[in-house]
Amino acid sequence: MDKRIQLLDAIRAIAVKTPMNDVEVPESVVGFGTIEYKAQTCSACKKCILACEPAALDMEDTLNMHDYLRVTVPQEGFRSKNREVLVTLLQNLKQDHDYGDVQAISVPEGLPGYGSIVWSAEQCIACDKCIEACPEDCLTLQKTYKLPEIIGPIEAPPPRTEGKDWEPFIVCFVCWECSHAAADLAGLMHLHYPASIRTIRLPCSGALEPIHIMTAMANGADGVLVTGCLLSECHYGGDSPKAGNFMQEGFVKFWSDIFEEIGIGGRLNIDFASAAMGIKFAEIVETFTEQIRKLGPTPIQAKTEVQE
Amino acid sequence: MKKLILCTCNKTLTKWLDFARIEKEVGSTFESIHIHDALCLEEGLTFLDAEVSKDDTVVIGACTSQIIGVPLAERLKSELVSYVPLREHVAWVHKDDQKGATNKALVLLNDAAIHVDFLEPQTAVDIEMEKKVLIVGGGIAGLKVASDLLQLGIEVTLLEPPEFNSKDYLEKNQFMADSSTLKGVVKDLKTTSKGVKKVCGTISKLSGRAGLYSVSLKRDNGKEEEILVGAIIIATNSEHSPPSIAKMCHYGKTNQTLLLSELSTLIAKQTAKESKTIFVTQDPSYHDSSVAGSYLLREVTYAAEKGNTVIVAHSDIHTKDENLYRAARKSGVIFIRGSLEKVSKKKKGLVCRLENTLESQVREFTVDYLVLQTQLKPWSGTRPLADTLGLNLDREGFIKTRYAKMKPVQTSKRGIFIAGNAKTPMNLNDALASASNASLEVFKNLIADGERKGWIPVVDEELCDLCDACVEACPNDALRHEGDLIKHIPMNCEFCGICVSACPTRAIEFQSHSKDSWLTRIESIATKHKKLEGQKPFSLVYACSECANASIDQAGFAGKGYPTGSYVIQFPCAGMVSPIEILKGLVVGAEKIIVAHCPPGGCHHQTGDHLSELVVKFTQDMLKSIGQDPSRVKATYMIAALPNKMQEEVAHRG
Amino acid sequence: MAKTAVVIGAGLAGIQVAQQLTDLGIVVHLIEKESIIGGLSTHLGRVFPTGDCALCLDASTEIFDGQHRRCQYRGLVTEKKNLKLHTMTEIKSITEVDGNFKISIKSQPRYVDLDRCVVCLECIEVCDVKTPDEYGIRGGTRKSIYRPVPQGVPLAPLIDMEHCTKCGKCVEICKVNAIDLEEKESTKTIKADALILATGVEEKIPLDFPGYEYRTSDDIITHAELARLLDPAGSTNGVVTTSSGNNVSEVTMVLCVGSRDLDASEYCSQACCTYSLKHADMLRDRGIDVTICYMDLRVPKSSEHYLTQAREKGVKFLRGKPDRVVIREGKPVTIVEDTQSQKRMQIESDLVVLASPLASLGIENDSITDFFAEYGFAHRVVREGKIYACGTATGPTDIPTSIAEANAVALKVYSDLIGGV
Repeated sequence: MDKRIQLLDAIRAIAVKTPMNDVEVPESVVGFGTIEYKAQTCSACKKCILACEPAALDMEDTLNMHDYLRVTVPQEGFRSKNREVLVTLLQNLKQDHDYGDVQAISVPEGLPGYGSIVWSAEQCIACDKCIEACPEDCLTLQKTYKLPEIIGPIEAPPPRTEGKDWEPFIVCFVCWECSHAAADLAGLMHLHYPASIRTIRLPCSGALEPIHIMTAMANGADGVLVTGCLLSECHYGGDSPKAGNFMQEGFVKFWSDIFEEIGIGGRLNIDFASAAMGIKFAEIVETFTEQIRKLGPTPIQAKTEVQE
Repeated sequence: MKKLILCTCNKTLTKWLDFARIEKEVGSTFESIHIHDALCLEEGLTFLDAEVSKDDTVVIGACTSQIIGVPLAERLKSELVSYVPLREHVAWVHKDDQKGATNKALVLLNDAAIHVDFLEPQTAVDIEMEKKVLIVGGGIAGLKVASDLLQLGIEVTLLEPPEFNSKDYLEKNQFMADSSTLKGVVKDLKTTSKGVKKVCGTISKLSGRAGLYSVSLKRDNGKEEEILVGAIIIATNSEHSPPSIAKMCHYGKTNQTLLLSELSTLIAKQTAKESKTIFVTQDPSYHDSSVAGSYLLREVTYAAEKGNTVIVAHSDIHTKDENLYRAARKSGVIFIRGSLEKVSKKKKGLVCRLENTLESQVREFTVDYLVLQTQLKPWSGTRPLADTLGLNLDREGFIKTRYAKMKPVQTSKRGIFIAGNAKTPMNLNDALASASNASLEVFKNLIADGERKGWIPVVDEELCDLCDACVEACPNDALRHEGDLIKHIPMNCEFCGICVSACPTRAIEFQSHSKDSWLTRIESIATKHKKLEGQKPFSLVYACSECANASIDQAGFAGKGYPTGSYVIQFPCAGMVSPIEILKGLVVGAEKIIVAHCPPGGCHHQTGDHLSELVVKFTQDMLKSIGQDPSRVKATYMIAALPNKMQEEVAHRG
Repeated sequence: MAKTAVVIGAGLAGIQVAQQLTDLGIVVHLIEKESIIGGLSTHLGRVFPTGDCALCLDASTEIFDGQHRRCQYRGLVTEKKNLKLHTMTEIKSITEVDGNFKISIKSQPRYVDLDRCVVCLECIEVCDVKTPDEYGIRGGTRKSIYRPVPQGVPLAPLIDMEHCTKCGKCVEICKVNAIDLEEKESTKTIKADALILATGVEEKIPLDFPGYEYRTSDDIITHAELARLLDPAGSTNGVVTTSSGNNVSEVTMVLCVGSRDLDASEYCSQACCTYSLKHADMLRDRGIDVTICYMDLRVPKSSEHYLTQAREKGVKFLRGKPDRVVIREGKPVTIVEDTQSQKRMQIESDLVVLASPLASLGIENDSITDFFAEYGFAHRVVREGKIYACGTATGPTDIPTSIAEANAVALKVYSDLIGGV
């Protein structure tokens, strides 16, 4: 799972503030999420651990008493009768409803049959395999991304001062179907849009990998713009929800939310234009450049100074 | 029919128990009630024989089942029987409280009535045996076992480790006795063990079960072979190993320092004229065994008799043969108490500084040779062998016996035995006894034709998560994870129920002792108690059916009374108790739950004492975390030699 | 026809060998001179190396295929068809006819029928006669119909006719008619194919060793007596007291009293070092200070933890054999030279415990005394194919070694009498 680690490192490299909030994962975005674990029915069978390829799950010698006390045993009971009885008895013995100070307890060494799953947000690729493997329905996938936990604390870089002649430097990823044609058309039409934009051609907007966005940012871009064909008109997916532009729209939304959390909000955008929309393309670039101009230069310390 | 049969024990229990009231109050629970005066006598047994038919379920309220259980079982036609020890657990310990005692009897009889409803007939176990034996190690003990078993007509294969060289018999065993005795014994054994099949190689894998072990052998010629045997005997040897002071004594750096095992070679080479000064020392931090002590005495005597000046620096000299000590003194050996502090190499010889640490008195000796008492360590291949066979080792690295006091040749695994120095270094006589002991156990196992019956665990494949908790918990290798199944191996099973306590899901249930049976019984004891005794506090004692139960019986015999409201529930093993039964007890209102197990390291099933301590510790932690008093739950050992234990545990209530 | 063996002595080794032989189909007569089986173990309470009950047996295959050990009271020694137990019985003579033994035995009356008694113990309740209890050392009493120890097997009581007044109360209360005050001693002749000596040892009463005033004071005791004091089922409920009834706070133990001594017992009794350490541990657990005077500490590997524990628990060790233990102002004083510091010491304590030699019991009976050799101990095979010995009859040792030897002898007897499968 080197790729995931690479990506997270790249995010950490461009972060200028410690993220404080979890990020919602849009419906169309796969590979990111949170595995939620309910301890009370877990039989410590380790099936999920065996199923997990990136080794995001592990066993811990503790028992999560909080889960045991707060769970409501469903009408039909748990599949695991012993856990059901244990939960019922513990709840019965817990006389008050103050759960604040209920701590997880450790399982003595050498006592089989108990344990808790620990999940590492950093390594998880939200693939569902553990959920399928679990015989006791202990695991569910939540569409949130635990960014603060994953990224950890970030030291803010010193503020950057730029000369008066600063112009936003924007990297624009364009698909080589409609949106590239739109950019061409804008040129043919002699439309004016800011000169500080650099376009990079991709087969499809959906082919853009996040690491490229992060790399652009890390290397001094003040903003990243992604353009694709009009929605429902992707040359590779048409109106399928799996089409590149649909997918990338969700992803860019997700990455923008992450950018917001790490202190570089507003510097990523996606928009769509057909081959006939030269004017629209110029407008998209114009609007985004204006937005970046308002935000000012990127706070990220560039790894390498861009050669003028 | 559900029948209750009570015994008044020669009309004496009537003093402490109101039988009329019992008869009246449990009348609706049982379909018939009989009161007899002496069930254990022939007239009682005849009565039982006539009264109980095969389909009846029976509750017997009499003395402890430990005394009458077996004789009664022979005459009872039904297997579905529950015993209530009215005499030892009720009448004799509550002599000053007739009402309380009667109430307790009612609670226990009511509990037994529920218990019999859960009873199932015991399951018979396949005891087919392969009448062949594998011996590992061809030293004294190995040859003795081979000789014993061959004489009894049992086929024996003797496996010798690859480095084994039969010429070394004497050298390897010389610590065990004087060399002429040893030679004689080896000669005899070689004659009587003729016909044994010898194989040179190692064990690479073990599968199968006790009585039908399949052993994969890796021969020294590279061939793999699989043999089927009924039992395995490990008769590997001890090895001389340099003591911890070897480095300080320049062992290996100078020819003047040698091990005791090398001394005899040196002396044998010596000509009459060269008298040397030989300084022999024990390792002061190591406690010698008696065989090592005897060996030292024999060797130094031999050296002194050859005209050498022999000084022995020692702490304690351990020997079973006091005459060896005397012979050593007579031969002129000088014994000095103290520990060797420093050895320096000088031109004139080795200078050994001896110090009495208490008084800081220092003495120095300049000697020709410094001889170190060796430590007798297990054969170097012991650990890999034990790992392959799944055996435990003791602190010193020897193979651990199942139970040090009474089971000198049994290992943690059924059907695998140890003989001689595989257990600990021993002298010739003890090694021969140990070998014959192993032969006996094997022989008895192989000719066993009786029935082996018990309540066994049953695995529900549907509910099983294959979490391996039961496999991990089973002390007897009776549960194995094979493919997508947990497989039960009845021949290895000791019917302890530890697996059931470990199972998180209830995919494994014990015949006659289902989880529901425990929960129902615990609840009904509480209900009945509250009905009869109102708010009076009560305690539950979950006692293992071995030591703990015996201790509670002995409380009765020794007259160590305790308050009523203390109910003993017998578990096959304390390791079968899980947090569920303990919490259930608290939920139904018990003031205190005591889990009583065998003494530390003394569980009859090997691990129940330890496991029940863990379970209780874990339950206490749970209680702490929900704000309950953890001291209401306790694990403790009870043994028959401490009949006061029950008194102590249930005395401080309220 | 089934072969028959006679085992003399129902101590741990005797019971073990008898059980093993019956499991192998041999009829065994187990002869015990005391009223209960167990031998030395009935005195000991808790034993090394495991620290649990002395009254523990390796169960025979009849109970749970012999996997488990059991308490004597639930070991069914009295219930086995092929094991005929004769308590209160001694060998009168042994003759050999046509290669078989004719062993004549004489049994003292118990006055209680073992087959009738239901062990309700009502007879003990009604008995008016109180006499000192041999098993208690601080003034415990028992009735004249009594059970020596709670776990003693057979469980039925016996009557001490010396003190019995024949008042008849016990006879009257016994509804199962188990008591016969007129029972006479009986003799019997047993034909046997093999004879096994498991006569065991006893702690020699240290009267003959000059310098130790065992006779003059009840505060100078032996280890067997200390074991009775430590036993919670004993007359002091496990409280260690002096003869005047005070709680003990200091104990001195003297090892090798009359052992390894050319003027007394020449041999080493093997077990005393370890049981002294075991008792020292138990005393320390009660907060009592312990000093052990010793020559060599001889602890078998299987019991080495006792030595470690004793050191950890602060038992004081003093290397030197006391030459005298005297009573001064009512307290025992041990006079000893510490060989390490070469200082004369006088140790005052509340109690002195003497580790007296373990002496062979077999030689006490004239009809078998010839079978024993040096120091009164026998060889494992006394006569090939005929007479064997095991347990401490072959020399003092610990329980595991004793059990191993009993098992070895059982195999040898079986092999000699019956042979192969």
